[in-house]
Amino acid sequence: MSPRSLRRTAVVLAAALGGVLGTAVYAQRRAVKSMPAVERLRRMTPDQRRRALAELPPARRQATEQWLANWEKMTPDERRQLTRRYENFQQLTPERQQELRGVYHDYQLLAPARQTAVSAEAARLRKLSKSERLKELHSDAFQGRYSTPERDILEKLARTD
Amino acid sequence: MTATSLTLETAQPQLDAGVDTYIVTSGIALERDAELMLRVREGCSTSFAQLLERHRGPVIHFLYRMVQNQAVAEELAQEVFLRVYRSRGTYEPTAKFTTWLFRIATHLALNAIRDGKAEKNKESLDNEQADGAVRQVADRKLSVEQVLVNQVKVDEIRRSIQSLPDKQRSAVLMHKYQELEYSQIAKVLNCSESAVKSLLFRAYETLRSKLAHFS
Amino acid sequence: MKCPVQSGGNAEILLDYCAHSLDAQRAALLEQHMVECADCQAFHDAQSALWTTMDAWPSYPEPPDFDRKIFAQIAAETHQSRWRQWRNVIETAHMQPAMPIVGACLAVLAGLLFQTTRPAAALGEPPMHAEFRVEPSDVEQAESTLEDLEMLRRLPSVAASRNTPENSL
Repeated sequence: MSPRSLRRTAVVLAAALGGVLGTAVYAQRRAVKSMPAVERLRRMTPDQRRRALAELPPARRQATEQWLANWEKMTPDERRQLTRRYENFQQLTPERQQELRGVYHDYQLLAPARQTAVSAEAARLRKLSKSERLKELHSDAFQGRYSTPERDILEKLARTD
Repeated sequence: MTATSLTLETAQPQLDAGVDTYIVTSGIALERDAELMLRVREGCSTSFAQLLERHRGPVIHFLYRMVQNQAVAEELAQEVFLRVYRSRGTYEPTAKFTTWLFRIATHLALNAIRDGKAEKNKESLDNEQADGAVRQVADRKLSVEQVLVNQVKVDEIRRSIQSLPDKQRSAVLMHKYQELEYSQIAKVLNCSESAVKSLLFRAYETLRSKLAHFS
Repeated sequence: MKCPVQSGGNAEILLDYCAHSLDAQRAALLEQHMVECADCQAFHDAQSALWTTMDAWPSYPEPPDFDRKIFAQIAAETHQSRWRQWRNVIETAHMQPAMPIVGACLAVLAGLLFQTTRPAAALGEPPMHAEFRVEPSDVEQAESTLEDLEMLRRLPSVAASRNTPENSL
């Protein structure tokens, strides 16, 4: 390998490493800025966290620990994507936020197999344009494929105005 | 009485009127609860006490029937009102206050059930029902047999309702015991009115078959 | 009148009738229909019996100290938020450059006081690191943020994301 190509490889590797580190640092900073309370909790030692969460009733404490564990398990990229979704969510009106919480509540009530079906449908709808999506949502085929609560979930998720 | 029928500049505030009357200020008709909540937003703790007075009972009873555990129901009811108070700064009277209140209560109750708080129900309910039975004997001078028969009946009602799917159970409790309208239940459960009617129809059908022997 | 049981479209009319929440005019129409319709009469009988049975589940006495507990909790939260307001004032009053020095002085002072006043028996659990000390409202904020994150993680998204926020996720 010539010195020139070695230099080029080194530059590419450095750029890639910088990109990866930069992305991770950016994701971390963005998360700190968007979710200070979560990040404070995340940076604690297990003992400090246990004492901080002891103020919550047992069930809520358990749920919070689980959510935090889920967050920790994510890759920096997943965390960055979710942080972006959270920031978008924060900018919605309180009514729309509440509506989406309600949609999630209804979604959780579906059987696992139906949740998978609804998720797959959501992914399919995402690929369509807004007008195509509306047309699809009102089609007989769609109406026949999903129950009222399932249609309600998908319609509310798809609502953009 | 409709809201529009009261949007008159001349109408007087009716602060001490009944539950279903509306207050009119500056030409805008508001539900009484909404008016109270707007005062809470301005820092009036008396108005919050009035809201508590008006809704404490229904919320506690609804939560009790949802989670079927007195201590958990009380804890959740406290949380409902604390959430209402914490949201005072951003409150806007866009929906009926009771709908909002029951939406929070339902959300908390279903979370509590999901988180397993309801697992302790059996023991707790047995204790509470035994206490209730003693009270009935002492207070109403019912015979022990009558009390026991009643207790069995209540226990079966409770179990039949508990066995309903979450949404059906919430809908039945709001419809039967809280007398909420279909539109309100629909908003609480985040579904259409027709879906609520179908939920109720299915739920009552199940209950009719399970509790038929009492008729 | 269309039979509520046969048509299925307006079956709630029977539920409303049994719940005594049907207006007089429609109630009269239904009563008239039920005279001739055995299905509706049977439905009515069964639903009315269920309605009466369900009345046996009593309400429970309201806890006497319910309001007091809520107002105590509100007072505690108000106290905490006042302390936070003070902290915000300090943080935003262009005093940041001086804060490390003030903090260091306070830490030295606290250390001296602690060394001179700490009884040997008071050596208990180590205190939480000052940087990570959180107030209850912080924990609640973290809880609600994590709950929303979990929701966003699990809830499928339909609308494609854009740079500008909209009603979608």
